[in-house]
Amino acid sequence: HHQQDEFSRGDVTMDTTHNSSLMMQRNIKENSEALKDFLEGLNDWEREMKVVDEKLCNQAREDCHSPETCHPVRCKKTLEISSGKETTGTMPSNNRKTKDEGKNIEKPKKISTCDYAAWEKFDVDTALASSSEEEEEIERQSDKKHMETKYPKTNKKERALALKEAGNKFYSSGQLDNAIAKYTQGMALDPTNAVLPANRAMAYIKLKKYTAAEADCNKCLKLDAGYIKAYLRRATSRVNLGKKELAIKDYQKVLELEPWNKEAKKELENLQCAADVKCERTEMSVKYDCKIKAKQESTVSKQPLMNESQKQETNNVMHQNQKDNVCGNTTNLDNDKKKQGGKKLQIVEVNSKECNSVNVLDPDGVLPIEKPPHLRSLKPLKKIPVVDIATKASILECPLLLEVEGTTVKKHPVPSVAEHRVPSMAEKDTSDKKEYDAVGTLQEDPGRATLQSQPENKSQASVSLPSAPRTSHQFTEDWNKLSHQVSQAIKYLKIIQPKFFTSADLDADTLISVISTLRTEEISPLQAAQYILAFSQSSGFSVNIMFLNESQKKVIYDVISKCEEEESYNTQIRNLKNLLDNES
Amino acid sequence: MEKPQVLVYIEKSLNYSAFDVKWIPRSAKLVSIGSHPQGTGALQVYEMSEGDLKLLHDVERPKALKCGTFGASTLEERHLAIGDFEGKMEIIDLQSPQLPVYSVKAHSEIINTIDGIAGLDIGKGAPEIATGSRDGLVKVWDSRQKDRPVVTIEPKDGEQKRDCWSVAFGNSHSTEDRTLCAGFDNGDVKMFDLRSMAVKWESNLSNGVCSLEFDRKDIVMNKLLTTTLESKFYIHDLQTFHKDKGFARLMDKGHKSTVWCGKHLPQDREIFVTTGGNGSIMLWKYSYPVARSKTLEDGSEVGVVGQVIPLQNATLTSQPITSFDWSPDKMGLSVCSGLDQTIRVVIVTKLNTV
Repeated sequence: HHQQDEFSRGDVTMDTTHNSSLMMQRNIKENSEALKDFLEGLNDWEREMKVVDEKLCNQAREDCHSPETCHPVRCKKTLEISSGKETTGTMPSNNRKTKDEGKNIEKPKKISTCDYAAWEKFDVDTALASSSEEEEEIERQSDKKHMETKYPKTNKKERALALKEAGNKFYSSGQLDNAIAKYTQGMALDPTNAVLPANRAMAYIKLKKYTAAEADCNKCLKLDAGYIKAYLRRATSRVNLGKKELAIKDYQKVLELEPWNKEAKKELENLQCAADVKCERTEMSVKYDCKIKAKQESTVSKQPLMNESQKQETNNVMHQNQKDNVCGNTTNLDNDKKKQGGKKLQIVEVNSKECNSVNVLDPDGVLPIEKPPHLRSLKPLKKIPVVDIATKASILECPLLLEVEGTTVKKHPVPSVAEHRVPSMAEKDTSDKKEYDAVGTLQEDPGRATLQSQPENKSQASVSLPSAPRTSHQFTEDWNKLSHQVSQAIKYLKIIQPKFFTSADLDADTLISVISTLRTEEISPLQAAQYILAFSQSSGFSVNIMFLNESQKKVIYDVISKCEEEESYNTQIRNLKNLLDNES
Repeated sequence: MEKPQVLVYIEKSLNYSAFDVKWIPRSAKLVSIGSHPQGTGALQVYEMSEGDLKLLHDVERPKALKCGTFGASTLEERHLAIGDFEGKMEIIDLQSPQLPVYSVKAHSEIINTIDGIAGLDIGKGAPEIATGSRDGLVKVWDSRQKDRPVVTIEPKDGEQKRDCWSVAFGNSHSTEDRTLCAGFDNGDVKMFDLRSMAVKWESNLSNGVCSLEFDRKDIVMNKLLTTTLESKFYIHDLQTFHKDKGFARLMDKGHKSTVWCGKHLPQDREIFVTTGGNGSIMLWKYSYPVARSKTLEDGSEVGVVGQVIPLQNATLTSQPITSFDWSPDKMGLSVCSGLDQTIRVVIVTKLNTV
């Protein structure tokens, strides 16, 4: 909404009302006509401007902006002003408050034309020399300014280069993510620059993102098919992705373009000899938890690597690839050690898209088997070891199991542990199934396993006791792990102070299970009394006992009766008994 | 009557305060610069299409933005130079606004005003940007020189720093000549000659100077329009300089409130618009006197001002209109923004017959 006031300063005044109304009408008509014209023109104008705009934008993009006559940047000057005064007439020549950074070339005094005496003394050569010096200085200064003036990096290509430099700086300082960001920005600005994707690929390689690195190398090579580094980097990525053949092709390509390229030669040799090298790791294959018959293993090891037809039986292939990777990796690792500051990083990629490549860090990894029933092994199933994270105390107490050949981690032979565990095993249900109990402890039957080839036993035996818990939650967890092994549980309980339970917050089941262990003989009546009293003092106890069923209450009664032998806590035990009686 | 009409063609409500609106030269687009309620900067590009403003880009900058200009960039690039509330001046390419082309911490306090010269085929010489800030300094920047201004204009030691509210370039008729005018909150107007690096003229208008504009940047300086608080504005005739009296000027009143903005029509330098704190827009026309200078008794020349007549007065809103920009491509098309978080595309008709 808007109002229009019509000013009429010194303008036509209406004579008669009739005239004025006519005039008004005419004005209104004129106004609306003018507006209509304007608006019509406006739509056309909009369309025109869109075209012009786009044209200009395209021009900006395509233009290799050569600064035609870019005026030099002003040299810095500081100008001081005073406020509030109404000083007029400050003519520049009188009031120069400038700080000239500029040239203070002394001009020699001009000799007047009629001063013949002076002219006689005038030395032409020196004057010439000095004047040419002056000119040079002026030129130098302007050149300096010119060089200092960084022409506006509005050109996208230049900006892309600047981003590349920034990215390189980040790369060399190790900030790879930032480097990648800069390269990406540069690539957005200038998609024709082949260096940017190549550099980004290198950063990805360092970050072990081999698929991304390979993609970047592909991009780069599309832009510049002769870019050696891109081939090398792609080969590295491919090796780490398991694409050995393609990697070999890349190295060969490099050698085509640069026959003297040492890196390519070396890597190519490695890749090719990896096939030939007799795997010391053939034994490793046995350790894999696969169903492989002995004769299959031997045949597999003899077959050459590059035979694609082997990919019939997935089992074999996986096996073979495991070996390949393992072999390849060992050789490469060795090479890396020999190399000094080698460019190539032989880092095993943990997550690979290709299912063929196996996590080589765990050569003893368990793999699924897919074989028809009549081909499966007749041996009984071996139990799978589950690695249990042990505490320091437990490590010290019970050293780890068996030495596994070929792995770099040293393990102590633990026959004693095996012996120790036999009695506890005897209690347990020794089923032949591939079971491990919920606790995740090692349930290897020592009688069955052969010591020299026990990949499962590489994990620690969880004969380790957890340390004294600090919170009731920790206690509950540890207890649940141990509750099946009564002796362990008892030992664990013993290391905990009874006082702990006064502030412990346990649920009913855990409570009952703890109290039931108190029943065993290994805990003396005194200790049992201490524990049970501690429990009774805990906050949740009264609530818990309200919800106990008969058998659980019996457990408590048993413990109480055991404690009644103990004299020192008599009154308290009796109180507890009364409490229980009241509840039931 | 042949009076031009002032009509609102498009009214667009925003969810942030727009402090400045500018047409993007050679296009039907405009850019609106302001700050979101949470203190981040808002930069939006709209395009006029069939009676409405279509939002093309919406960029959020880290800090609230105060002012912007296209004045120093070429027509192909049309980079926008913006000043923000923290004193940072950036030049950004609207095609990729996240990456500024140039960025510098220009001032320690908010940049109140910014102006550019020698871009867009207006003005000769090196393209430069002037910024004026609450810290009392006026700095001139060249996008080719990083981090340091090419000229700094600061109060003398011991003098009180007055907020600079407005800057304007002018007199850029040759590659060397250039004049920069700065207006301060105490009414000071100072004119600096950048060729000789000296203060050419100072004056005090007794009310804070909200806006300054030369009628044309690329001719020998002709007129200077200054708008101030308390509904006054001045026109100085810059053709004749008298060493004691300075420049001749006329004063007029309008809007009955602060005159926020005064802008000359790009297609006709005698027509200008003033916007007021009462939400109104007034269209004025200046006419020259018969003789633009007269000789005094002591032989010195002093300038003579003409007169200014109001052509139209239109109230668009109840809140102050703080920013106004004529479209350089279509005569009569303009955009304005105010404290009511609205931008309006305003049409002024019949300007060619005025």
